[in-house]
Amino acid sequence: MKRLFSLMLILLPILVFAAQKSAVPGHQDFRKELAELEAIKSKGVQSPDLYYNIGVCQARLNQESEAILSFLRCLNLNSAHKPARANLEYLISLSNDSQLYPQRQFISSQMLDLYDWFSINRSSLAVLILLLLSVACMHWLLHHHQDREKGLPILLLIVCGVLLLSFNSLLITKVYRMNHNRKAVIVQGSVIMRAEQQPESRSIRTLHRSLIVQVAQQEGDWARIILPNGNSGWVKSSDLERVSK
Amino acid sequence: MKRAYFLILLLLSYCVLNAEVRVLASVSKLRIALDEQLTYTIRIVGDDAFRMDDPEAPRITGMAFRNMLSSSSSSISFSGGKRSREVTKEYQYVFLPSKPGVFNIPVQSVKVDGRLYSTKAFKIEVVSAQGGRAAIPTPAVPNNPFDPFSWDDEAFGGMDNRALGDVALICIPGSRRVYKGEPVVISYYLYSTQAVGSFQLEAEDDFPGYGKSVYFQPNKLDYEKAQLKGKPYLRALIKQLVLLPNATGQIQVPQLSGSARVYDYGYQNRQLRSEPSFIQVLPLPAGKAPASFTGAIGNFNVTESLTPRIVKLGEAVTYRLTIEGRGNFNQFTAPELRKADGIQSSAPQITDNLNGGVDGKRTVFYTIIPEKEGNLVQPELEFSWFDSGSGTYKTFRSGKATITVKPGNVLSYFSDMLSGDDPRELRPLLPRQQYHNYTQYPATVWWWLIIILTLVAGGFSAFLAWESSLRTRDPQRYSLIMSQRILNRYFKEAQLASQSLSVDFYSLAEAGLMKFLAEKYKLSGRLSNPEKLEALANLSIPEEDIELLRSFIDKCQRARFMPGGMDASVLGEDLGMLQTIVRSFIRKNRGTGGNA
Repeated sequence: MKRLFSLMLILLPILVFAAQKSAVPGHQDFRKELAELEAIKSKGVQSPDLYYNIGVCQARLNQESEAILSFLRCLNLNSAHKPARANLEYLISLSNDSQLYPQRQFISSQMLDLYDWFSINRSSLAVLILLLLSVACMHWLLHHHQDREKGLPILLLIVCGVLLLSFNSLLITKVYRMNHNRKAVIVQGSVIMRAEQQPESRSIRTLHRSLIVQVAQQEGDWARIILPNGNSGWVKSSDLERVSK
Repeated sequence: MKRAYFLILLLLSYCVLNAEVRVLASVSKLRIALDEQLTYTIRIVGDDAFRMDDPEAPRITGMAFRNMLSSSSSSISFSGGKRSREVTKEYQYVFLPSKPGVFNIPVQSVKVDGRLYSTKAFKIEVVSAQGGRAAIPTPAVPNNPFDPFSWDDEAFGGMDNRALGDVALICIPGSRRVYKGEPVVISYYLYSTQAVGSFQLEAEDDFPGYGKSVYFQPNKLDYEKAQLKGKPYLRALIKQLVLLPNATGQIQVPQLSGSARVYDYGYQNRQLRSEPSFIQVLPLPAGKAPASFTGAIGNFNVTESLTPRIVKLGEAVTYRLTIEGRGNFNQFTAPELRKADGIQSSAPQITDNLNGGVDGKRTVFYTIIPEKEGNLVQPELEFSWFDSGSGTYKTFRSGKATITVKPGNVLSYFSDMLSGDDPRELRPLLPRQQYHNYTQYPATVWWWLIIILTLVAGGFSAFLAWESSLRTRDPQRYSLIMSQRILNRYFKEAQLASQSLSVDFYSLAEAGLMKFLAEKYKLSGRLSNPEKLEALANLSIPEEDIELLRSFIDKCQRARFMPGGMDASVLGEDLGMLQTIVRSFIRKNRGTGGNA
């Protein structure tokens, strides 16, 4: 019996490893997988995992800008999607304009991670819990015996109330930003960013495929974009693909 | 009148003749060393503005004229109620001695307002340089004593200045025959045998058949020795342009024009324009371009490197491609690495160190991450360009170096920890059989239901707290509110029962009325109705109200418990009686403030 257990213990990692190996599809498989996922997407399914898997297939097929766009769409639905965040950062680090992205300080990056961790659903749950706690604290305070000390219920009510307001604001912001996402990705090989919305105006710099920008303004065929380093200029709208259509 | 005019004319001519002009000359030193410079100054001082040409530099044997500076000033002063003005012009001539000896600065003639003035002569002694200071080299050709610009500088050595004596703007193309799309640098030089103070570029005329950009634009005139048509000149670079021919055949390069400030016995501006210059543009050989040719033309040297060759699983390898030379680098699109088994490679990352975008070095980096252990062959890469030197297409194919990938160990994990959360590889696909629409909680009914219920519960709790607080703070008001509430409830039900001619009217009316009075006058709930009436009678309530109440209660008792005691025809009348009783007690409440 012991021998059987030992044999199973040895075989188990091998089987797991073999399963992982066989799970990695080849180049052709990614193409096929992508076609299937695109078919599901065309039915109007809005799923972060769907966008994530589309992004992985596109990245494996060397379609970096499309992959970045898919990961951004995944994160637009669920900002706490960790694999999508990791893959997005990986593709950004490989892009031509990676030096344009700001190098954040430790504290600010941790704060941003926390902000992302609180997705819309997590923020919604936090709002619910804090509302219940606030009402319970209020109930405790209102029905507290008059002769007793009220410091603790007041303190708890204030803490819960402040947190409730903060999470409420966070939730409203996240919902607004999800519905009005201004992010876009450069989808052309190299794009000249100009000072004005005219083809002959002064060129500011050349942008490369896969760069993530913010669309600040739209005028006709031109869009004023803000680069990750804060610089802004005009490019043709056809050179961009927006995250929210 | 004529006499007056004559008098004025006489006075004017007297004033003019009396306008005093003094012409003075001085030297900085009468004895100088061979490595020192001599400054000869002519100063013209007048009482009023005067007209004059710049005086010529004196011709001094054994000294070379270097530079001339001029300045002017004027001052007005009042002395003893009289205004006086003084205008001064000063010319400084700098000379460098070329050999020891005694030399004469001759008398100089200066014409001011049509009158000729003379300066005094000077005798200058030039001695050898002292204290190890280097003497000025002797010119290869003896100085021309009649030419004030006979430079002693080595740069002008051997130059017959009298024969040259000119300034020109010359255009020199880097190559006269180029291929279509191949960049060519056009240089514009200022050739001169004279001291040029400055050059102002004024226009740049373009012609069809090329695109252009600035290659180099110096910010000062930097002279170098040059030969032009077999004659020595000094030349300074004015501008360099890069032309990218987009048409074949003969094309004319841009023409530059500007003005040079030259010294020719006084400063003057000279308008210059480069002569028309042409280059021959050849087409690329038709039908021979390789598939990987992207339009790059020039002379390039391509090298590659792959480091490290031995890695642990999870570590990255860098493949570096270096392209050096001259050509249209912007057409050199970074080639992609081909997909290789067990290797994941990044998009190319380009670092340029180019001058004017046409010559220098472009480095393309690729990050290669092995996905499995073993000996892996590096991904292939291929690109082509047109070599303008040989006139043929060239193709670069990457080598087939082997990367040895070893299994990861404990140290690999530590290195991951130290390198933080930087992603090194693409996360895999998520195993999903089905994809459902992602539900955002704020868009669901249950989320809003919980919110509303919680808020309602909070409101109810607050209401209860308020009632509880009222019972403690103002018991009378509280009992009044409660009795009112009871009355309302029972009265409404009793009304409904009377409308439906139900016997329930009497039970509801009796119960409601007695509960109302018990709540209002704080009577115990355990007392029976007769006892309650007795208790009310003991309070300061009018006797007739008590009697009316008692009769109504008796009526209710009869209707409820005596067979045939209920008469439906008088239900309306009894309802009216109940209303009268209630009104009288409510009125009593208002009048007495609810005090029992």
